[in-house]
Amino acid sequence: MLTLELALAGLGIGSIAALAGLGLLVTYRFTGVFNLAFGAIAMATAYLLWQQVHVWHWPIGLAAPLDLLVICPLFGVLLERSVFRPLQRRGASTAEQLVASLGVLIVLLGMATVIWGAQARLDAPSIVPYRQLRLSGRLQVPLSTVVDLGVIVMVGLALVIGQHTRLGLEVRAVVERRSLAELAGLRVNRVAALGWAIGCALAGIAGVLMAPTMRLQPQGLTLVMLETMAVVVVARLTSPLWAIASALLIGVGQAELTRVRVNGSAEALLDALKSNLFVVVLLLALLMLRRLDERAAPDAGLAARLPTARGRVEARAWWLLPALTLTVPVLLSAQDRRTALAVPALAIVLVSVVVVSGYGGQISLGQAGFAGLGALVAGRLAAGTIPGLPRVPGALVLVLVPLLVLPVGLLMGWPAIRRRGLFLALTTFAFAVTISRFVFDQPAITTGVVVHPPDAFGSDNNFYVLELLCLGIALVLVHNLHTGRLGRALTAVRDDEMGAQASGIDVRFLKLLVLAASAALAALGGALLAMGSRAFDPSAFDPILGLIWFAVVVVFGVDSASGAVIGAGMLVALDAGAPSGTSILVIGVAALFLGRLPGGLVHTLSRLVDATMGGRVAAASVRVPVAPTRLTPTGRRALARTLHRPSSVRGAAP
Amino acid sequence: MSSGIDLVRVRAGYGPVEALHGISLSFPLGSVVALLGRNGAGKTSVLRAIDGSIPVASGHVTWRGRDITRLPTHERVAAGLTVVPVEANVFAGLSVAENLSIFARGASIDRVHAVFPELASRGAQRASTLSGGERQMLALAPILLRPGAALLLDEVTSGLSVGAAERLHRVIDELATPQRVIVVAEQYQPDIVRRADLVYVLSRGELAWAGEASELVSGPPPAVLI
Repeated sequence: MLTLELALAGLGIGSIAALAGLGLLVTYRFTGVFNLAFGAIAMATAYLLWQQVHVWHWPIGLAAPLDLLVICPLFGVLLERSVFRPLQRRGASTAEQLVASLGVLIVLLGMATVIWGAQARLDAPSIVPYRQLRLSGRLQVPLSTVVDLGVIVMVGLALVIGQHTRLGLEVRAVVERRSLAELAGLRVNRVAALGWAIGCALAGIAGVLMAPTMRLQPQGLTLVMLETMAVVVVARLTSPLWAIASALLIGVGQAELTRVRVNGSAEALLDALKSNLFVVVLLLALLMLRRLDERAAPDAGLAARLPTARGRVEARAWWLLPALTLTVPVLLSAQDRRTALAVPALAIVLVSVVVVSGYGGQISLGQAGFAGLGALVAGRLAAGTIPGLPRVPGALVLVLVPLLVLPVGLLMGWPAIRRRGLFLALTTFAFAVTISRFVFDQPAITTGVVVHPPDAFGSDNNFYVLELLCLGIALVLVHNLHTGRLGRALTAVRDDEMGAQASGIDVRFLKLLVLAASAALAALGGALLAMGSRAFDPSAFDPILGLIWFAVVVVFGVDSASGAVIGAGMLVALDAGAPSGTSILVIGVAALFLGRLPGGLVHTLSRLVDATMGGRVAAASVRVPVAPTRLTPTGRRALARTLHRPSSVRGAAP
Repeated sequence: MSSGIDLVRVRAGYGPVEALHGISLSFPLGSVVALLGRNGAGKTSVLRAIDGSIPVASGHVTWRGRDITRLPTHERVAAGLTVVPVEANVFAGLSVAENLSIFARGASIDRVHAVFPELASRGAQRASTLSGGERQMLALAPILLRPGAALLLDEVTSGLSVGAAERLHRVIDELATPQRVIVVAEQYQPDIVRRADLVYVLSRGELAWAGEASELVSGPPPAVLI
């Protein structure tokens, strides 16, 4: 009996996850975009309903249909129109589209934080009245579960039937090859808009159903919704039925786990597993599923590439800007200087993203995990509470931290390098979430961890100097990764994995090297971050921050170490000086405009300077003169119309 | 000759790379026009500027007197343009039958099987598993199923066997009516050039030679072709 009751309870959560997964799946299958923003769309819809019901006192019967059937679909159409259509028309890579969806996520997160604050609320309105339905005897099931399941059956059926219709075929054609679909006369924009509208509506429904079962909080709710990606990955981004089945199974499995009891230290682990089964399944599926293919990405190596300023070496003068960024704190008051301690530390973390994404061409959304591990290891090393390791004094900690976290990077990297593009990105993110839930959130591991700057660098001024020293060393090491033989090999792997392999480069080794080096760097940065604030705070290494850090790096130029330093300065300054959420909002908006700034802010700036100071440099714009056109009498007659009729064409240029 | 497709001082390209440097060309209705030139001369770019798959930075494209420079591609198709691009010209992940269904938009697909019986037994096969020549036959389906009043054909004979290429040439001959313009871009294909009423030779994004096919075939070929 108990088993059955738990299973019914699990179906509730499972069905919400299934709805979220179906929303993600629909958008992906209609448009080819893996919409990371769906978690934030779900969160924002839940907040909107809260605002309407609790603040404006609208009847929920009016507000909910308005939000879910009008506002969410319209928002989807707006996204398609303003963000994704320009990218797809330009033939942007998967990675660029992923960054754009990350931009949407971050903007929504920033807006929610600015409008509603970061604190949690417990009174999310429920669209299904709370009532228990009696099945038989003592067995009861909440009405909401029945409603959820009903919605899933309807949506699932519609999707399965839809696949076999003419529309279904056109959708596949559009995703397969947008340009050819256009040439075949299909209304590709309409298909994409429809996909976004349905996807956003489903995300909204999932958010509104999920919010009452947990706390309403911008980052928290977004992250929980993101975890439901697990069901989409298990479904290999194709089968709606698999997505539904796995969602219900995980939901029921999570509920049944509550019956299991163990003693001793395994208890904490089991408790974590009970509330994080989706995360575990996500990570395991990403690491273990044999075949995971992106749609419409025949050349995944190319599809994964982010736009970089190829062939352009950063001019030395550009280092003035980051140098200036790092000098500013010297001029600040003691209070502000303490805040500014975060700049070089964060810069190291961001440079670690440059290494893996800019130089290595892999998307890593999981740097928050490595940074947090670095902070944790630093604290426990200094206290001597890592089993088997003695108490480590002073600055030696900073040498050991990257070395100790590096194997963790290898551990994740080894299975992960089989993946490319989107799936590697998701793996790194799933890894960060797992570390956060199973390590950072465990009191047994993090309670009482104190992180101090090394004794000799106790004062803020001395510690700042130490940080600059670390940053300097990191930059020199990173510079070596980008130049010489190794740098050329890495660039070859980044730009064309197949080609690199064909010319005898050990691609696996290089990818692993890049992932491990970047994990070690992130750990160093994380340790310095914690030392600067003199505490280990799990929320400082929230997985969502990993997404934001990645966006910062892409916005400032994914292969630009100097851009990373400037980005760190801007992020810290905005966090300290502007209302909560502003920095996130700024980064998100910038990420949305990335389609118009290929290569990022730093490269756009340097191009502007080049253009105004020294004429255009792009080799492509150099034209070789062609001999004058030779026209035979027939040729002259044929061209007479176009050559000598300046006024017959409307608006012809003079 | 009545007005078909006209390009007036068109500049177009790919991001920062300009491929067409203010080119003017005329493709009158009732003619077959060959567009020749070496690799990178701008043949494909001209076709793409006409069908709208690359943006025109300045200048105009008109079709039967109507300015279509800013029209979305699918509206140009609706206005009578039928395009067979040089690459990415089939839906590789879809089956042959599904490809034909998309291209046919309701029309009967018998015509494809009549011209290319090779495809008749391949309906359930994924297009990505076809041989190069078979894939090219599939790519030609649009001009067999729903030929518009303007056909833009980019290196369509590449990969076809001699027999299949001859069948294609016969199709082109049948389609060459007074109400239609056919533009064929080729490296140098004597069979196609001989059929052309007008030949344009492009070089580095500009027009290098314009004249009659006979003048090109009889005399020495212009240096820009070799």
